[in-house]
Amino acid sequence: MDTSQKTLPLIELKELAGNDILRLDATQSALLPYVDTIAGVWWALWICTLVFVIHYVWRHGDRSIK
Amino acid sequence: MNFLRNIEQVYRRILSIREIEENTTLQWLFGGLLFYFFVTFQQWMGSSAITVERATNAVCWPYFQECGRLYFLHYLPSGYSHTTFYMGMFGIMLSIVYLMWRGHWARAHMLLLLLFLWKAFVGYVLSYTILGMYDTYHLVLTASLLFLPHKEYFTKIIFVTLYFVSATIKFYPSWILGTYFSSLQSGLPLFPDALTPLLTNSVIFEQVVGCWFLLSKHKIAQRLSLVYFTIFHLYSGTLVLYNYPAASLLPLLILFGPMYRYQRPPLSWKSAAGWIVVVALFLLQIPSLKHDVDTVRMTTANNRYGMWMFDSNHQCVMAVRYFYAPEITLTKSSSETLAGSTCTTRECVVKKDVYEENGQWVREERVESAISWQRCDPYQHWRALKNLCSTDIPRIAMTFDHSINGEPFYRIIDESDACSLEYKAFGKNTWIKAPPEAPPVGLPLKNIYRY
Repeated sequence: MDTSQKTLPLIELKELAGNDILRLDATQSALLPYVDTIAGVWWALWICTLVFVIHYVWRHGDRSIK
Repeated sequence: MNFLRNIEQVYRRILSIREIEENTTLQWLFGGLLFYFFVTFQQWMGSSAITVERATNAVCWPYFQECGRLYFLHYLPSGYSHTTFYMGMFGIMLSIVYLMWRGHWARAHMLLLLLFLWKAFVGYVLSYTILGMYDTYHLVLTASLLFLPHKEYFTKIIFVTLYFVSATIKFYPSWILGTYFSSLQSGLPLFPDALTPLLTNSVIFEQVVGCWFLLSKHKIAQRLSLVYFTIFHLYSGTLVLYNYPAASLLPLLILFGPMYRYQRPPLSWKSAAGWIVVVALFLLQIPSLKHDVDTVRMTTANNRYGMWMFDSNHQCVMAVRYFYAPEITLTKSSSETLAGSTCTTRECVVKKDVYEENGQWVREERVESAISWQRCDPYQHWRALKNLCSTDIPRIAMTFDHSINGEPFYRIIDESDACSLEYKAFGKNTWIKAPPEAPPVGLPLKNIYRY
């Protein structure tokens, strides 16, 4: 897209009463109150995976290899 | 001759060249990584970014802010050294292909090392902005192939670790709710908007858990993971074009495709270097985790040290006033009074004006980001302004407003004299603020993804 041909500004900064604030759809709205919890679950899963991987490497690592 | 042969023997032994000579997977990987050097240098050859002509407005890394002094190539029409240099690189790449074909892997390795050193030097010393995240993938994998013992195993686990570490930047509404995509005019490519959170969370799951199955000895699990990431990279190309797929899909298919074999993790002193690199990939993520996640997204503090690709959808507006020295008189040119705007790939100048204020000439500009993948890094914008400070322009006032994922713009910089500011490479820069200290100043329209 050639923006030089577009009517600008691309960003309309109309102060807080101007543009519509980002509209979330139904699924996003349902998830919104739980964002921090979901982020916490992802972090927990990430840490558990990391611990499992370290354990796997330690247990199944090849110590005879040169 | 004996002396040179001895050097080659030492080189072969220290850098485990025999592994490449005996391993078809590594030989294919060698070719795949070489191909991406070609992709990189053909882009750099057409850019004046790292040339003497641009040295005075170089945006350097915060840890080495004098990088412009090291620029030595001249860009056309000032000179031929830039194009000559990159044709030299082309010659090296051709030579590597010939040496690979002849099976002279030690010599091919030496030449690939030269390409690697130049790319790393440019990316981590000469320029803050020239590398994309895909270049980090490329450099890390190339380093593994060049330097590490147990090359095949460590290149595989490093590749998987890059996915795993990348997942951490997605534990944020951008990906949990999918607001990165829903705040774009064009939305998520090819899928209905209602599926956005499902798909973005599936990427998180695959980068946290699924990626490790690439290393599995269970064939079906390994193949399913391979298929997922192959489709993921092909799909991502609809947004990121050829760069990221070229840097990641080739190694993915070479390391985990038809030639894949399960290998037990090596645990010996010789493997220590490989494990140190793996740990370093985790440690590099720490600087950006020093602050709370909202602050990091807004200020982008230390963001470039770890993985950061697609963390958030950014929009920014920068208003600048250049105050000229009293002895300088400006005249209003046609460009300053012209309605409309001037756009580069990344941003548009939407307002220009020149006027006299208190006996001093002032030039005013308003610059807006024009694309969602513009990072809106306040350091980068401030650094470009700071380069303009001089006896002719002793003072530059700036405001910088930043919006993430369609949320309000916050005024994160509001300074009357950008020339007097300094940026700390690792400490807190109090002049770059985050909410609630940074006040909200407006609401954005939906962002644009384009090239």
